[in-house]
Amino acid sequence: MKKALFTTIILLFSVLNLLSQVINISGKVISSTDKTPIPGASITVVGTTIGISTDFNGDYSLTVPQSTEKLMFNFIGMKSQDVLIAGRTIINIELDEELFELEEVVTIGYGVQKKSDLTGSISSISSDDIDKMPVMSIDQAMQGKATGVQITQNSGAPGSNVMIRIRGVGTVNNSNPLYVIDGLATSSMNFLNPSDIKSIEILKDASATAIYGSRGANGVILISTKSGGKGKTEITFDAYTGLQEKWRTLDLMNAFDYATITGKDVNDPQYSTYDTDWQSEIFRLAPVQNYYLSATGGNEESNYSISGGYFQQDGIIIGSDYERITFRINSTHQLNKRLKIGENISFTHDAKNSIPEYSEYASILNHAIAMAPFDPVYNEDGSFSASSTNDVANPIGMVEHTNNLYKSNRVVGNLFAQIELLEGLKFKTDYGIDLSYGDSHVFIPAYDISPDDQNLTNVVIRDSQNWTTWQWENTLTYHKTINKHDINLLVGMTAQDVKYNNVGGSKSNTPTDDPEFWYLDAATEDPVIGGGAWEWSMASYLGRFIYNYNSKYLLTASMRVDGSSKFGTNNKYGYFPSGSLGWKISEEDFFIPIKKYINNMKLRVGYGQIGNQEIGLHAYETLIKGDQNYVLGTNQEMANGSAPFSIGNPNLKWETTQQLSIGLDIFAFENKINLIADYYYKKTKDMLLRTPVPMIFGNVEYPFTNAGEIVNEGIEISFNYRNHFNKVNYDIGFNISKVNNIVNSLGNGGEEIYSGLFRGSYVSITEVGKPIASFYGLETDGIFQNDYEVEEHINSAGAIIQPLAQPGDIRFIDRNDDGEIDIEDNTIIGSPLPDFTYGFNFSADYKFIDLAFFFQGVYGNDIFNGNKYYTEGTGYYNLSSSMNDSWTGEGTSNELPNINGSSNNLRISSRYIEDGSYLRLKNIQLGFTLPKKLLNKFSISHARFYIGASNLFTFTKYEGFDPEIGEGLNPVTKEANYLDIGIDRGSYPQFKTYLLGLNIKF
Amino acid sequence: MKVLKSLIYIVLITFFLNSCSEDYLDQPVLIDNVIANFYKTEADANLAVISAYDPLQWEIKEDVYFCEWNIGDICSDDAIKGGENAGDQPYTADIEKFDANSSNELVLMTWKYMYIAIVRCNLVTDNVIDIPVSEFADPATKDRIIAEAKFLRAYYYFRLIKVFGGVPLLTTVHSPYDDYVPRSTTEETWALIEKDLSEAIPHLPLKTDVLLTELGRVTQGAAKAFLVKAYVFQEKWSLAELLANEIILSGEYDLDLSYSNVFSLSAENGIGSIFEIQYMEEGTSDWPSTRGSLISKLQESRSGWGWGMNRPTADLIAEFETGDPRLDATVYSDASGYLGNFNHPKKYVLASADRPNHPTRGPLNIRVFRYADLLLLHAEAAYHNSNEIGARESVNKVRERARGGNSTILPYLTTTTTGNDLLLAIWHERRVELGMEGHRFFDLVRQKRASEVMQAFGETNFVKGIHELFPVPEAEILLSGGVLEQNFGY
Repeated sequence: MKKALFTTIILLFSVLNLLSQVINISGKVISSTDKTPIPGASITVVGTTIGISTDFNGDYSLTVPQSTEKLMFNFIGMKSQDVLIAGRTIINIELDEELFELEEVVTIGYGVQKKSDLTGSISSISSDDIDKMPVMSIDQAMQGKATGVQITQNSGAPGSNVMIRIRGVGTVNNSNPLYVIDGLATSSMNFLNPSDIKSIEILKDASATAIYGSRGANGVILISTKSGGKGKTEITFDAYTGLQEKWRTLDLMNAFDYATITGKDVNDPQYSTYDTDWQSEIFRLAPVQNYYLSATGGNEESNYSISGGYFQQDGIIIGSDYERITFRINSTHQLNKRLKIGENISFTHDAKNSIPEYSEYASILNHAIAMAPFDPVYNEDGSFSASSTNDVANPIGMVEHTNNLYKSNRVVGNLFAQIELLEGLKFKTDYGIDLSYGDSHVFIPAYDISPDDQNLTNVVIRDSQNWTTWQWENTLTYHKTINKHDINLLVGMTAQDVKYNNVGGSKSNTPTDDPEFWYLDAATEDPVIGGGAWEWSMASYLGRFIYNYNSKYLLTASMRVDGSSKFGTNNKYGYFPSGSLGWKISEEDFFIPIKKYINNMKLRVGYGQIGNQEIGLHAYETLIKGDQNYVLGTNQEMANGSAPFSIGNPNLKWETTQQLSIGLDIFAFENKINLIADYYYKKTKDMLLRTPVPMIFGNVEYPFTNAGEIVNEGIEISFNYRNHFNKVNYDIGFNISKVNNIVNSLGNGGEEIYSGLFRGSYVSITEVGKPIASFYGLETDGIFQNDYEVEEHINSAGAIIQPLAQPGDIRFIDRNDDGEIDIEDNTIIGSPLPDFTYGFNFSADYKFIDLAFFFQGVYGNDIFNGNKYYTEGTGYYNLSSSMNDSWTGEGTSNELPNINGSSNNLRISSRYIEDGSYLRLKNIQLGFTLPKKLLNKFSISHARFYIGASNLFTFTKYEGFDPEIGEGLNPVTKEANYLDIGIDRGSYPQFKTYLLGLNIKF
Repeated sequence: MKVLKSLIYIVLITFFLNSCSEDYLDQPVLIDNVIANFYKTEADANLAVISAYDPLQWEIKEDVYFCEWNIGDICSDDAIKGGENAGDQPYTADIEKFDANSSNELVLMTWKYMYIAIVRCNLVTDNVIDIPVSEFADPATKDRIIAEAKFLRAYYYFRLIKVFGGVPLLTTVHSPYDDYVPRSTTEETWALIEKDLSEAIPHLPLKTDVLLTELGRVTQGAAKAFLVKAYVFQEKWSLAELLANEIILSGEYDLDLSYSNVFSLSAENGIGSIFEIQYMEEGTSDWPSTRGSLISKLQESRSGWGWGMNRPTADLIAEFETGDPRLDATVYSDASGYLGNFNHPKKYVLASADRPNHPTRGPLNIRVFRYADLLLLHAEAAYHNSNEIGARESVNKVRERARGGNSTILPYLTTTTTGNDLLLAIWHERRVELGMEGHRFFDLVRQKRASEVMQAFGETNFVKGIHELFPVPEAEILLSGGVLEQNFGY
């Protein structure tokens, strides 16, 4: 079927070439620097689909209509040239190398700007970067590539979300960035097909994000999707297929060792018949595949881009998979001299099967490592076997009994019209929508593996959700150049409304467990229904003034006024000003002597005040809460009561962030070297906190106030070198970002915030003077080797601190010297925030071969390794092989406690904290581009095959499955717990991928 | 010209957007009501007052138990803490040993949640008053609801004064950012309790007039009885005797025929009951909400899968006269216990057959104020008013019922029991009749013999003049900016 489609397309375009009266033009294309021929350069007739590529010797011969005026010469890495034919039949061309695109235009909020004129701090990722190394989701295209942007995968499960932090963690609340997709503000980007993306701009500093006002505090990610160019129609087909596999398993005990250490009779058939490797039972080799087809094109008046994509991925753990279907149509039309209209519309369907994760109790991985190896997967009769030694559920049974499908359909699009009122004065109106429909299908069959692992009546749970967003923007822009003065003015207003609704229900007892009965109407008992809704809206005014004197002195000033339904009645509007200055030092006269070496140097300074409006929807209201009930009557029935829980605060407002950013951009040595360095100081104040108020005022929950302060201070450096050596073009890049995070205040009487619940204890604390969400627990001091050491472990008053401890138990430090070990001895034992993050990339091409690889790393963060609760515990669960060396008598170990020791050994302590640093070969790829000569016969302009691999090597000291541990999510609602970072609860690990792919262009 | 026209359009569009934006920034709260739309109708008034009843049921908040018996029984010579080990309710262990400091969680939660309860009453008295009478089907309902809130406010302040002495008095709703309200004296606190109860009485129904479907709501009798108790705590003996007598003569209440039946499910809200905290049989799960009591689970022995808290002492058992059937109704023995002795309190332990659904919660009501309690308060007051006849008469009613027709036990008090002996006899009767019902410690304090009794019992930590009251929570002192004063000795 697919084959037939392509044949048709190829034929169609071959036919198009045989048109009308023609002339023949030929010539040679060479490089201006070394005068060598350029094979594979494309020559097209501007405004048509006619074109050809040069052969191996750089020669070409093209038949064009007589009416043709202009030819366009293109080659990757070279500046393209438009050439007037002017009656010639032989046209030889020298193409100039394009090293760094200084004239490149980047998207800024509500407009575009030349990269060289930027005064704010913006990282860009172009479609070239994305196309070079195919990624499964957009975040992977950004990870490690942009300075100041930390991207951590929350899970390796297909279709899961990532944690993105721009310039540190700015608040104890929601610190996700704002996403703006083709101008539409939204809260996620994973519905996009990475192949549809033209560019990603990450606005990092206040002067860049202030135009987004109360949503700019955590950074803004601007995504533009591909549009058609003027010229020949281009059909692109991309495809890859691959395999994914786990990169590590834990070294756990086999049946014999585990039976021995836990004192079982190793000759008993119960402990000697089976030796199950539970990890290999749940992991699998999983396929992934992706297909993408697009057509782009246009002429002077109109252009279009149409695409469709299909992506399917199985997870490396059984029971998890994801598929995504995307369609997109973007086009613009110049209706007349003054009026331009256009649209970007996309549709995404996705479906995800997920398995339990994000919970130390439910995670499949924790069950797999905890099951005894002498237990079989299946009983003799084929049924799932129950754990013989502990309360763990059979993980294969768990997957089998989990039917958790989430499907969604999403339409995102906008229509716009732009009218040029006077020269340089443009009015644009843009209306966008984002309609998202999600549908959760859960079915839990009836099963009875053991009393600890059963569900006696099957249950159907359904939930339908929808989000409706509209946004209307009206902007007026004016651009004027008078002599050396260049002015850009923007004023506008925008309004947005977001509404959510859900309806859900559950029932139990369907006739059988077959899928045709996984519907509410098939079930007969225990009906439960529920549903909710919320809505918020914004209205904003914005203005910006960009001034440029002689391309030497640059100034940007902006202001946004945001009105939001989220703000308290006394603070409906927030004001967010910013200003930045740029100085192109290299344009000064005194710079001339060194301009030869340093071609371009620009100093940037910016300051602004931005906000975070993610403070909840009605935090300022006094809400009347129901369910404050009592019991009345002889039949003792519920009487309903209602009361407020806390008194609303009408003064409530956005969280405010002030940021100072200083940057230096340097291009040197014929623009081969590009260095960008940034320093910033970012202070968030007025965080939304529940601060304590006197109890006599009777608040069940402390009321919200704006209080507290967090500072993120950092340095970002990126370095790129691009050159060629003979015919080898290469490109080397390195970037590093360092952030220091500190909580300066949590408000008046601000109590420390505990978070990161792990088996009933809080593992994380946010307190003044420390980084946010630091790990919190007891400090250990080796292991008691004998009774004498237990008696000698005393406080200053001589009290034995752990009187009940036995030799082989862990010695904890009595920090408050009160003679006992309790929660008051807890202290900061680590931080999940890295000292720095870095990336290194290399790419090179020689003739038809290209090679690229990319390393990404983090350094200095800690991980709470929750797996150890099982693998280095009491032997109730299967143990790590290292426990063969655990304490068994005096002098045997000072690290691993006696497995028969006190359960206190399992208390939250520095034992669980491990270095989370890692360096990972994120991507490596080897590509082959087929010679044009061969391709021309099929009207194919470009064909490239590649093999690639992701996560091929990972260097880390971390002992769990994978060091990439993001935010904890509520296992049920999948909502992020913002202060739950770096806690490994049997997290779904990252994996290796091997890919085989091709790109074809017609 | 064309440009000008376009600009005009743009300005118009902008203004249009502007004008609709003003409205649309006011997004209504969906699902939850907001205070501005509440307290408008009779239904709202009812919801509000029920939320003021709700705290009556609270036994545990933020993982801390703060039942009245945690102090009333466990701090007294009637009971020890019990439980699985010393670490089971460590805060109760500390107050039991009179070793509690101002960060004790039990006093903290008592303070915090009684004030949450008081504010719910204040929300009613502040807001229901503004609902037009025309909103109510029966105009009397408005006054009754306000009266119920006043009764409940008095009840919650009563719980506070017993634990802390004089406390900050709030009778209206305050902003959380208002200045802290300093502590009132014990006298002022009693005055508020008396005032609230007195103002409530005229608007409350007689128990016999309460609809069966409304049973459990506050009655006139309950308000009067608590007023009697308030008088007794202040040793306003004549007022106490007079009002207690009024209740006795009203004929609204009488003693149940059988003492052992008093704590059965069938006797709930019976003739002998003046005020009860209502609980109901639970569903099987804790969702959506739970309205049963944990008391049975808390106090049952280990062999009944209980948690073995609040264990009667030998001292209490010895107090019972030979053959007194009330001992068997108060204490049972089970050797399978956890910590301490083998005795368990019986009154609130409900057979699991009577709470079949929920694993931990049961429907048994707490008998907060029994008619027997009132009779004994009357006796005490009468004694102090030198009405020894009246005093003996009330005590004898209690003994007669306890006797259950067995003439060989519990003889009537006669004129030979007089003077201080009579007072001791009344106190004795109170201890055995109301044993393990959460009264003892507070009785000892008001009878000004807590130190003497507790020292004799062996609680040598007890210091007279300090441990009659408990510490005010340190956290609240900090939040008050130092305005709140700590109790003497803490």
